[in-house]
Amino acid sequence: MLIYIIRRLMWAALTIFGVMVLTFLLFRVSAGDIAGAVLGEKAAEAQKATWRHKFGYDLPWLINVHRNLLIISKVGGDKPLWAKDTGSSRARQGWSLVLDAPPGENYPPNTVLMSGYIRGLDESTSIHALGSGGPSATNEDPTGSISFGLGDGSTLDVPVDGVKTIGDLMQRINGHAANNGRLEARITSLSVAGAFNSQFFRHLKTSLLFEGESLKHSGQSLKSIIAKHGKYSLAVQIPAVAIQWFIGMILALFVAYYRGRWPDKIGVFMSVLGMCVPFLAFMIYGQALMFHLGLPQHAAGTIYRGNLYVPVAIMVIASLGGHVRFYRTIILDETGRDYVRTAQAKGLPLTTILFKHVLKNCMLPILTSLILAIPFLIMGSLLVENFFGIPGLGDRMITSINDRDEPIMNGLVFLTAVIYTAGILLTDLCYAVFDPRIRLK
Amino acid sequence: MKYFYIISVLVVAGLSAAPFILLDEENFAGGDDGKVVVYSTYAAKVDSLDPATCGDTTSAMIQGNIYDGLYGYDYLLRPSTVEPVLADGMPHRSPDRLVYTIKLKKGVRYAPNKCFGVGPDGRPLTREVVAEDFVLAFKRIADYHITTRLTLALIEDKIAGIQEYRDRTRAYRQGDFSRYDVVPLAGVEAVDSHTLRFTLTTPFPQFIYVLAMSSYAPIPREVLDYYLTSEPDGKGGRRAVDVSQRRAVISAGDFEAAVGTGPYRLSEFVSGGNIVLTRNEAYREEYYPSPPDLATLDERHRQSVQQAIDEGLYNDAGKRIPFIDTNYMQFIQEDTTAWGLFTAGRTDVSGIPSQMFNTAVTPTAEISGAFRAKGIRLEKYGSPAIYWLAFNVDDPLLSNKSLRQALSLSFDVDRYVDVLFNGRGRRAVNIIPSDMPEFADMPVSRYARYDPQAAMEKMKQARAELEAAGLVAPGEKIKLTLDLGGRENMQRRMGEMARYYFGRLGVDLHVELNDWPTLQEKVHNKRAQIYSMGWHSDYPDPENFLQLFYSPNIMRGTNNTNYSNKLFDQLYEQIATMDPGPERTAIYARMVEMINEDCPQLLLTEPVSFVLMHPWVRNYRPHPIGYGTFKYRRVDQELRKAAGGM
Amino acid sequence: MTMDAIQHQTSAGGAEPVAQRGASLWADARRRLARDRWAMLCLGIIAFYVLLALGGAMYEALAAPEGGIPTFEETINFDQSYRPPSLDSLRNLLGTDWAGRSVLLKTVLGAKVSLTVGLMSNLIAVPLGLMLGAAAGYFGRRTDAVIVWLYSTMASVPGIVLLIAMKYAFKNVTFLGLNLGGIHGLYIALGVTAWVGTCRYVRAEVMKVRELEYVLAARAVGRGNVMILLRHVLPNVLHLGIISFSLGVVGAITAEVTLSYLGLGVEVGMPSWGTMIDGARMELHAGRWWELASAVGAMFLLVLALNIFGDRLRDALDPRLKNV
Repeated sequence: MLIYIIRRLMWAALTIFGVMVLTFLLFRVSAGDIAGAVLGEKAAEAQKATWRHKFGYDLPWLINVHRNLLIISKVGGDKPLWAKDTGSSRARQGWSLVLDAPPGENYPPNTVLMSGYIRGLDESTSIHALGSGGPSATNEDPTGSISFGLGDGSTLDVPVDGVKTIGDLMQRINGHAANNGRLEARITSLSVAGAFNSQFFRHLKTSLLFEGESLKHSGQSLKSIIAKHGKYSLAVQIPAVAIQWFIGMILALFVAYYRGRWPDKIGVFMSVLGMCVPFLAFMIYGQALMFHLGLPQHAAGTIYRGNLYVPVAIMVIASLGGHVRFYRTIILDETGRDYVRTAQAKGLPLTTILFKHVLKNCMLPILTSLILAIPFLIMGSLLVENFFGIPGLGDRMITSINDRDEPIMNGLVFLTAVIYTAGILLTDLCYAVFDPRIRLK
Repeated sequence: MKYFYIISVLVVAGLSAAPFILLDEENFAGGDDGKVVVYSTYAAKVDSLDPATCGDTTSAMIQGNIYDGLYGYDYLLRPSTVEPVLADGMPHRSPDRLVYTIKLKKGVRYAPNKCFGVGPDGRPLTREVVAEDFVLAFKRIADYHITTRLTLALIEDKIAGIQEYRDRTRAYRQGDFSRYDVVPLAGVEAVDSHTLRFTLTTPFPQFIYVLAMSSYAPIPREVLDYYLTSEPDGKGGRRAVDVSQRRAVISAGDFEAAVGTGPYRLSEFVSGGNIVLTRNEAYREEYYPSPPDLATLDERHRQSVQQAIDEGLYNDAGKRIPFIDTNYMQFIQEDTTAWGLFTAGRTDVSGIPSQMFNTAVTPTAEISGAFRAKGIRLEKYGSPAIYWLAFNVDDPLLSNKSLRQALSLSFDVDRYVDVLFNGRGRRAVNIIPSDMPEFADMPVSRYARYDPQAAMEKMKQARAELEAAGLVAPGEKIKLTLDLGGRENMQRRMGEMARYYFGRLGVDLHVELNDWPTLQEKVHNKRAQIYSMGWHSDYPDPENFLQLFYSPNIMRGTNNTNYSNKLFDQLYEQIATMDPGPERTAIYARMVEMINEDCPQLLLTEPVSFVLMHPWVRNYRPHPIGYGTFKYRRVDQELRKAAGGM
Repeated sequence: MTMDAIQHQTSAGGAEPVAQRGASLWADARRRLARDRWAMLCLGIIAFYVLLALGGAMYEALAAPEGGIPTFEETINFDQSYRPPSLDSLRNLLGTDWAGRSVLLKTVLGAKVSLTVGLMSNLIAVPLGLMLGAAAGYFGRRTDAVIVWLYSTMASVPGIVLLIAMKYAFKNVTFLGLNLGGIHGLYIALGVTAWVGTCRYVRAEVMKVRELEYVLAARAVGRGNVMILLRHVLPNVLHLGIISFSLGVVGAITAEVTLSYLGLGVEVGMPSWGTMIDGARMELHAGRWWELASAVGAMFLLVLALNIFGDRLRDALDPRLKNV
């Protein structure tokens, strides 16, 4: 049994990993350039590159076997190192040198300028490899000069006319007459730890630790969003699931009792009808009913807590058909078993059999089906929240998809996946514990 | 087994009460502690609480009630008229029109806030506004580390030293606020504590309108020092934030940092949730405007004043404002829900969702009987805005002028207004809104009308030209794409209408529904052919619309048709420094005619809004470009209670 | 969810596999079905919808702008908008929409869209599910592990989110000459996400079939795996594919409606039940009920017929799973 549990845990971990790969491909890779969407398209390319670097969107996709050109200020002082184009130089724009100390190296912040991540960068690489590839990247040879401003307020003007390779640039800087060891240009070396500094691994880390931060609404972390909006989703879904189960069970028991006779036939018929009406129709007509009854303020919004019962009621009614059918199937499967026939033959009334024996045996599959419904508790039903103006996580997920708020989108989807996997794990464990057939395998 | 049933029933009952357990009581019901309380809804999320980053109308609407600028607009005079708000009188302009000297009113104080300290009684303190606060505001707008939307664009090339300031602040870290102390901004100086001096690089006749925006509100240094150097620690206090982690912008999560001199302050702010505006206890003495002497006004102003008098809008003249203590604002996106709240008397003012239109308004655009019986009034007002379908004139097909003109003639805008907006709009006849003062002198476009015959002829001409240029094969349908911003039903219907009308010209139109960021991306990357656009005027000067066709603005982003015409540019540069007058108006007319002929857009509508208000609402008149007019409104609480409202 | 849950439950503690199934499965099933009145009625309804869809397709093929038969777009007539249903003409039988077009025509064209989406997406999903499920069930061990991992991963992400994300990713993408922004992207996205249910179902069944005597015999004789799969295993699970198909069409239709509500459905200009519902839901407040009712009603009837027929089909093909 222990082996069974361990196997299930490993499977769960692999599934979570699979989800992270999926979300990576779906949200990150297909999203393309987010910088433009967030900063506005007309932001300068240099600003976009800085932004991308800050949030790690310029890292290599899978493995970081790339190198950077570093320009390091050896001078103390509290001003950050920065570079400015002078003359007709468009180096700063085209090369997108960004400000940040590379991870793993112990430089004081703001003393390092770093180029993008380039594979196989060495002194003979063409200078154009430094281009960010953005619309203002240029294939012209640089002219003019770059002025570096150092921490102590001094500057170093480096002419870049005729620079053709990275080596040339490094030479211009390191060999500059007025340098005096203030500024050093060099190329990073590869390291094992550094290999993991890629978008994919960062994605793994951010997902697992729920670290995301909203791109659109600065300052809102994923955790705070979940805390703030999760309770609205729960406030709708928990009553819905509880009442669905309760009423579903009652009706299913009733219908199963009269199996084959007309209450059963009508019950099944109504259930099937209910399953076939599109959910949207329930919502639309339900809301129209609210208006018709003269209760518009209960048709949407959370201005009164009681308003939430409207979507709850609609959800219960909409799903009742499916639930009744499902529970009925399970109950009837049980009542078809030998021991029930024996008990009936022995003279026990059907009601007693149902409520004393059958129900117990049915609980396992029924409860496990409820557990499997839990992820949707948190996500809320996207449609319901969107339609009724409930600020829950489901609604938040839709808005984050619309806003292209990738970290939040990612975080919420990952959350659902984790909860769902945990749910399956839990149901498997329940079966392992309560179903002797599994235990003895 | 019996216990199972009892327990399960209890559990179910308990779980069903989740809404009441998990959520706090929304204390919206109330307002009976003598306070005057109003409930309203808003439909789009507030993006910004920081004046420097304000760029959308919802944020401007909230900010306008919290922050004051140097100037503002008179509430009731139309056309819009600038009046001093924090300034003491109109600016003094030097003879070369480059230096503006403005005196500040004395005794204006900020809303009490913890950033100024806490008094012995535990209540937050406040202080008087000084000129340095304005300098700080402008420095932040010019700051390299703050991404502005509109505020910088309007003054970028106009105030001296902005670019230099931007460059120099790049050398500072984002969290290092010493740059506001050390680096000077040449064009904005505090001559003394109550005198400001602006130095421009070029005469800028619209500068007074820029100063009339609340986005250029003064910022007290204490806000930066208190709120931006620390963050809430989740336990009610604050903890320090390291310099490398500090933000430069007031975030929506820290709403108490929105400290202004306006009549209201935020006592609650949840993005996409409830917003509560509460009276600013330290608000200076301001009074409801009195009607000016009619003899001193020109014809249009006189009419507007007379109308206001007749409607009783001057009845509260001379009384101290604001009247209303608290405004509870709820985020409701579905317009039918907002409508439901209005009809139930829970909100005071509402627009009309199109599907309810016929219940509220008669075919002759009057309030319907049922609503009139409840005392509800209907007010219609136009916005100085124009919506159009922009043509990307760089596109190979659309660079053909005849094609653009043909498309323009083929679309029945009146029908469009009728069907999609219940007639709430006017067909735009040129690119200047009709309530601009100079509108009467602007020529009407020959192509801004529905003429299927003329459209077909133009189309034949266009086809001939396109076939000659080899862009279209003979007999081949012309394929175009229309990009709309929004995936709602409204956009879908608009798309279907466009397909219908353009289809009659033999155009195969593909319609794409985009969300807003995608549309902007496409337009910016010039991948869109035809797209829906609009412009709401920032100030009452036609130049605001003419700049949309000035070619350097293509890079800046406001010119998104890529229209480029050397003569137009020359004329634009000419009028940019001219004061209002007949000479300038004549050049305006020439420029408008050029746009009319070249047709870089299919003009659609000037929106007209229909607003309903309950009988207990007083002093409500929407302002076309001013925000922050909530302080003038009043409600008759007794009447509201009696009528069954909140 | 219901079907998957049932399968989860029966595979956890099912009965032993039924011995030898002969080639008479199909004939047997057909006989049983033919005797079942409800199933035949539903089949009739489905056939009716298929005919409607074909009719719609023919209409679209024949209609040409400025030709004899007006295209759907050309039937726009703003003076006729919002006519309630009346018996005075076929055009107005179900009323007109906001642009004066016949709701009846819209509903028929919508049927075409729904059935196309249902058909195409399941043509992708069901074979995919069959193949992957069979491979997983038959080869076991590593192949099985990989495929189970694959579908567990996909099942963990809410279906709607996957669809929305894929629709977004497909915007402005052209694949093999098809514009993926509209209906084509819709059924590719649906196909690629809906195979999970079939796969699970098939895998469980194949795992039982694998133990059947004649399969074991074939392996003993040395038949190649692929041959066995094709000749012995797949025919035994084909019926599951058919059942999945009929129930999968329901899922596809519902998904199209949901995505259209979110603005991510078919392209502008193509009528579909989803856009009818999305468009007309607000009209309800103004008393214009007919467009919404037509779309909902048409969808309801088709889904009902598919559900009942799918159920009866399952009963006929696999009596073990009969809903007592």
